[in-house]
Amino acid sequence: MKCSKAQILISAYLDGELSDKERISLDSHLASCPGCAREKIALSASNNALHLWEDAEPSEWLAQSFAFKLQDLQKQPDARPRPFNRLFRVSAAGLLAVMLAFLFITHEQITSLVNHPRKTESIVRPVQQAKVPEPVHPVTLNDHGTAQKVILPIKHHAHTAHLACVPLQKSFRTHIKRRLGRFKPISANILARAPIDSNTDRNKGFQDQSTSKPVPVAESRDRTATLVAMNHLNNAEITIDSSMDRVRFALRRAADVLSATEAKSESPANTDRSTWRIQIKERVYDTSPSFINYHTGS
Amino acid sequence: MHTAIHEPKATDEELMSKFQAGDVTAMEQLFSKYQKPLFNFFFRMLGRREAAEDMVQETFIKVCRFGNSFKGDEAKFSTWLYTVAGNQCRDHLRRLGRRPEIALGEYEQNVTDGDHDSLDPMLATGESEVEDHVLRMELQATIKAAIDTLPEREKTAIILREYQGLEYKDIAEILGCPLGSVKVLIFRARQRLKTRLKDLL
Repeated sequence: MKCSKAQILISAYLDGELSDKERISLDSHLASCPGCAREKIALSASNNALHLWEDAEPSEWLAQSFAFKLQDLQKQPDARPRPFNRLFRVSAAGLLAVMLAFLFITHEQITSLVNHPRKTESIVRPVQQAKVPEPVHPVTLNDHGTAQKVILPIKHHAHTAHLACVPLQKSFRTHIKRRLGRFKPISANILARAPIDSNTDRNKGFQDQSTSKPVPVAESRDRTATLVAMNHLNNAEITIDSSMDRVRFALRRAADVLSATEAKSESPANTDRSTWRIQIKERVYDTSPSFINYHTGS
Repeated sequence: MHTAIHEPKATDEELMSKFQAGDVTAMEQLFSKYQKPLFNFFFRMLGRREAAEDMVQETFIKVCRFGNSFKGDEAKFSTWLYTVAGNQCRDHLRRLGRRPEIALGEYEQNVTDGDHDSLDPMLATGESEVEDHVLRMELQATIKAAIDTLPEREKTAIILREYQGLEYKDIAEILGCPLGSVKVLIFRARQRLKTRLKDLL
């Protein structure tokens, strides 16, 4: 056996992936070739070193978020895993479509023959007119899950308070953040910024008063804490730089925590819930090498 | 209660079959079993926690959506799952590849992200434990950097083998290549890693 072949086999040997014949042949080569024997030891050592990189734990968010997703998927008829039902639905829909198309074509042909003998393009019109459902803006928490209370006490009629969500790829957002120069790169992807004119004590923790720059209020993964803190900060703008799911999840958690806090409190911060409102506005960034457009869904 | 204890555990393929019949709890069981290994697969491939978590979720959403195409009597669920995951990963890396300056930014952030994760345990431990912890983090960072330099297919193959513990034939199916190619991919990956990790040995 040549050393070049032996070295490929050594790798598979470490994984127990050699046939008996290959293993016997390699063993006899290793016994007579000190170079390949050393190679086997070195390869084995570097392989063992790889296992110093231990497994990490996914966050609690992952399982809970998937549970919500699964509920959403169940509500969508096409995603339900029932082959027979689905097959039946598809067949029935197909049959209906064919019948309607037939009736429509027949009707159109008769009409066009009578009125406009050469006009045939209207036959395809029903397909072109099919409506695509449009996304709903703004999305409120009430549409989802058990957290029916929408809690953040931001008085929408007074100021332009909102939660902004950027449902883009992280890399893209990073790029945008750097170009805009507004945010720190990673350690604080939640920023709370009070309006410049509301210089109250409660806002001091969230704003550098000397420069009026927004300051980070929470670590990158502690969105709930931020949102709870924002309970005491009216007229604020919160930017959560994450996917829509994560924002919703954080809001639900915040809603739970706030409800529990308020139940114990004798004098809740804001009792008039009718004025509380939250909006998750979806901002879509359109970037090109030369400029950035900034659209706000509404 | 007793029946639950003595009942043999359903295989992945049986769970998938239950899901295909409309039992959503079967999917929850599969998710709970695979979320950690899959998360670690993506974390090692992409290097970022948040991206890895998003990818795990997207992979399982695909599994739900295209669950009917899985045939339990012909394929192993884990192999099918990693095939979906591998495709997701490849698409993601290609998207990053089209914007190299952003990919660099991602890499810079990884280091910060990794350190951030490790801060909390450090606060609660003694000095020597902190040193151990820092040392471990440095080792992990070195290994991670070495793996990151591998070509994509070699990286996937070695991660599937070393960290996910898959057999060569499963890796061949996931990567869509012959068994012999898997042997060579893993051999080359190990050769490169041996050179890059020689300071650790």
